[in-house]
Amino acid sequence: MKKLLIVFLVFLAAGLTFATGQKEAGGPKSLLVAAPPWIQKKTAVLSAAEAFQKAHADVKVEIITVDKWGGPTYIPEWQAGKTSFDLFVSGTGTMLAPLIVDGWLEPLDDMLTGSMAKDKIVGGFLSEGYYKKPDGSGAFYPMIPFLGEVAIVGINTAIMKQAGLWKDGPVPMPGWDAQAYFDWFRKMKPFAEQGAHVQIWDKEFMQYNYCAPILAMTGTFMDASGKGFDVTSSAARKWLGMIQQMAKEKLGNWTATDTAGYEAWKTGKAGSFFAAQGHTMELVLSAGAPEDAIGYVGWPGSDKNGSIIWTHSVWIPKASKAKDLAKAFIREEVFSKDFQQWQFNNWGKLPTFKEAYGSGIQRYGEYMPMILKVADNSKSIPLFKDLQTYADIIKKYLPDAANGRISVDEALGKIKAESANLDFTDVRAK
Amino acid sequence: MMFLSREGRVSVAKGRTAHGRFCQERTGSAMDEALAAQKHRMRARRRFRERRNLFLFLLPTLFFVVVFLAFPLLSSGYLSLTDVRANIFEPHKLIGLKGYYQTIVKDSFFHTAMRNQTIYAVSYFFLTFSCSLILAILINELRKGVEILQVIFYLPMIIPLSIVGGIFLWIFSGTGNGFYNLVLNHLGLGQSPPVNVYGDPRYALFGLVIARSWKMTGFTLIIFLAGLKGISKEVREAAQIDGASFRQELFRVVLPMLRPYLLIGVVWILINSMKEFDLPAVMTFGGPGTATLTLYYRAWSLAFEYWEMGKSAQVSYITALLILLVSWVFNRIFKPETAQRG
Repeated sequence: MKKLLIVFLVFLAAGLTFATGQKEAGGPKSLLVAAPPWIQKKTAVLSAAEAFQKAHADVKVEIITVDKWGGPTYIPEWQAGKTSFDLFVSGTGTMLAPLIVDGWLEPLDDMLTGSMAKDKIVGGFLSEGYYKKPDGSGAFYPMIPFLGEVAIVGINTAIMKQAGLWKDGPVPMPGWDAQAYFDWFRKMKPFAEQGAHVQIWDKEFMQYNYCAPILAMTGTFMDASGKGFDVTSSAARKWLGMIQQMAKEKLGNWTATDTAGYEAWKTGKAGSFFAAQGHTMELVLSAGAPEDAIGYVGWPGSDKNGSIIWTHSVWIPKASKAKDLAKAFIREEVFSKDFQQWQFNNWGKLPTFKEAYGSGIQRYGEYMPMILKVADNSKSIPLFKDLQTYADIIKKYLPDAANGRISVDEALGKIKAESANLDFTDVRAK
Repeated sequence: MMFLSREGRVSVAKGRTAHGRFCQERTGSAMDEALAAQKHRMRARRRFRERRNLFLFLLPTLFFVVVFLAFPLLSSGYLSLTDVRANIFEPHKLIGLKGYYQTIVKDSFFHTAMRNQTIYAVSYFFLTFSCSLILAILINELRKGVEILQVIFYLPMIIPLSIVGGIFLWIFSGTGNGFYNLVLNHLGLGQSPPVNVYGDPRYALFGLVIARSWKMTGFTLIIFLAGLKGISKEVREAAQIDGASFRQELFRVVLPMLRPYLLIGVVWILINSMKEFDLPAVMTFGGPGTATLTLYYRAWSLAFEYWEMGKSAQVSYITALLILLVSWVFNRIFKPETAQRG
C-alpha cells in the first residue's frame, strides 16, 4: 500500500511538472510562428515555414496553432519577459487594440522600406496598420496588414442574365436615384428565391454594410460631429430608408448571423451578396459552383470614394528574442508574390502587396482592376475606444429599422442619443 | 518477560532475563497503565496513518477544487470589486459595490439581458417541466416499452449542446431547406420568404427555448419517472377503490407524493434556464439585435469582446446570486418534509 502511494505521488508530481511546463519562444535560431487554424488553411504560412527553413539552414521554424481572438491572454507572459511565440500571423485592429495601446507590440516602421516600401502596399490596407503611439508622441506601425478584405457586391451571374442585367459583364447599379436603384433589384427578384440582395447584419458586418454605401454616396461615413457613424445626414436617412423599402418589397434578406448570410448565398438563389470579396468567392467555390457563377460590382461611387476594408496583420511581441528572424520571415515569405497570390488564388483573400495584382492571379482577373481601385481608395472602420458598446447599440436598432419594426428616424435618433457619452477617440492614426 | 506486541497482544518471552524477572516484579496496575498507554499510542498512529492516506487520495481532487473552483471563485469576486480591464495583473482601483450599482442601474444591455433571461427562464421552465411530467406520467401508465421509451427520450442528453444548436439551425433554417419550412410548404402553408425563426427577434428566443428543452426534457423525465415508480401501488389502488377518477388520483395522491422529485426537477430546470450561453454563442450571437442576449452571454461578451474583466465578473456574480435566490425560494415552496408518502 505504501509503495503504491509513493508511485502514485511520483506520477502526480511528474504529471503536474509537465502539464505546467510551457514552451518559451526560443533563442536566435528558432522561430515560433503563431497562427490560428483558419490562417493555416487559407494562407501559405505552412509552406512559407518550410521555404524559410530551406533558405536558412540553421533556423528551425515551428508553427503553433492559437486561438484567433486570444491577444490579451498573452499579457501575463509578456509581463514576465517571456513569450510563447515570436511572430503572430493574423489579427485585426479590434483584437489588437488593447495590446497596441499598452505598448506590447514591436514597432515595424523600419520594415516599410525596399521591397516593402509604403508605395508597394495597397494604401487603403496599409492605413489599417498605422496607430498612435502609446505615449502620444506620434504614430507608428505596430503591425503590417498582409491580407485584405474589401466589402463589395458579389453578383450571381445566372440570375443577372435571367434578369436581363448582363451585357458582356454585369450591368452596374445605375446610381443612387431611388427608382433606378430599386428597379435593378426588382428585375432580379423573380429569379432570386433568397432575395435579390443579401446582407449580413450581425455585430461586425453590419458596421461595414451600413457605412460602405454611405461612403460610396458621399465620400465619408462618419457623422459630421466626428462622434460615430453618420446617423444624421440625408444620405444616412436615404440609405436606411432604401433598406427598409427593400425589406418591405422582399427584395432584400438581412440576416442576423454570418452563417445565415453565407447559407443564403451558397444556395445559388440570391441575386447579389454584399460581403467581403473573399467570402463571396470562397462560398461559391465551396458549394461546387464554377468560377463564372459570380462576378462583382461596386456601389455607385465606390470607384472614387472607396468602400470599407479590413485586414489581417503580422505582428511581433516586444518580448520576443527572435525579432530579426521574425522580420526576415515577414519580408522574405509573407510579403512575397507567391505567398500573397496563393491566398487569393485559393481562398480569394486579397493581397496587400501591389505587385501581387498582376500576372499570377488565376481567378477573376477581369474584376481585379476594379477591386484594386476600390480597395486603394477605401477606408477602415475607426477603432473607437468604445467601439464594442457602439456596435452593440447599432445592433440594437438598425436591424429593427431595416425590417420596418421601427422608423428610420426613431432608429437613428436612438443610436445618436444612446451613444452621446461614448468615447470616440480613434486609436488609429491618420 | 511480558511485552505488548504490535497487534496489542500480551506475549510472554521465553527464558528469564534479569529484565524479565524485574518486569515480573512490577505491580499489576503499573503494567496495565503501560499497556494502556501503548495501546493508545498504537491507536493514534493507526488513526494518523488512515488520515494521511485519506488526505493523499483526496489531494488530486482538492488540488482541482482549489485551483479550478475556489481560487477562480474568490479571485473573480475580488475582480468584480475593481475597475480592471483586459490585463488582470495591471494596477487597478478597488471600486467596491459601485461597479455593481453601475451594472444593475445604468447598463441598458444588462437590463435587456435580464428581461430576455426572465422570458427565457419562464418559457423554458413551463415547456420542459410540463413536457417531462406529462411524458413521465404517460410512460408510467404503460405496461410495455417503458425502458425503450426512457432510452429514446434520454438520448438527446448525450448530444452536446453546440451540436443541438446546429441541428435546430437547420430545422428552422430561413433558406427554405430547413425541416420546418419544408413541412410548411408540404402543408401548403409555406411563406415567401421562408420563416426564419432565428433571424426574427420575435421568435429567436423561443427558438432557443425549444432547442434546449428538446435536449433537457429527458433528464427531468427520468427523475419524475423514478419518483412515480416509487409510489406504492397499494396507495393508488386504495384511491381507485375509494372512487377517485384518474384526475383526482393524479392531483390528490400522485403529485403530492412526487413532491421531492418535483423539487429536484424544478431546481434543475431553473438553474439550467439561468445558465444559457451555449446556444446563443453557437446560433445567434445574442441577436438578432439583442433578442437573445442572455446574462451569461453578456458576461462573456464583456470579458472577451469588451475586455472588461471587472464588469464581466459583476454580471457573473449577479447571475449566480439570482440562481441561488431562485433555488432557495423553490426549496421553501417544495419543502420535502411536507410531502406525504404512503
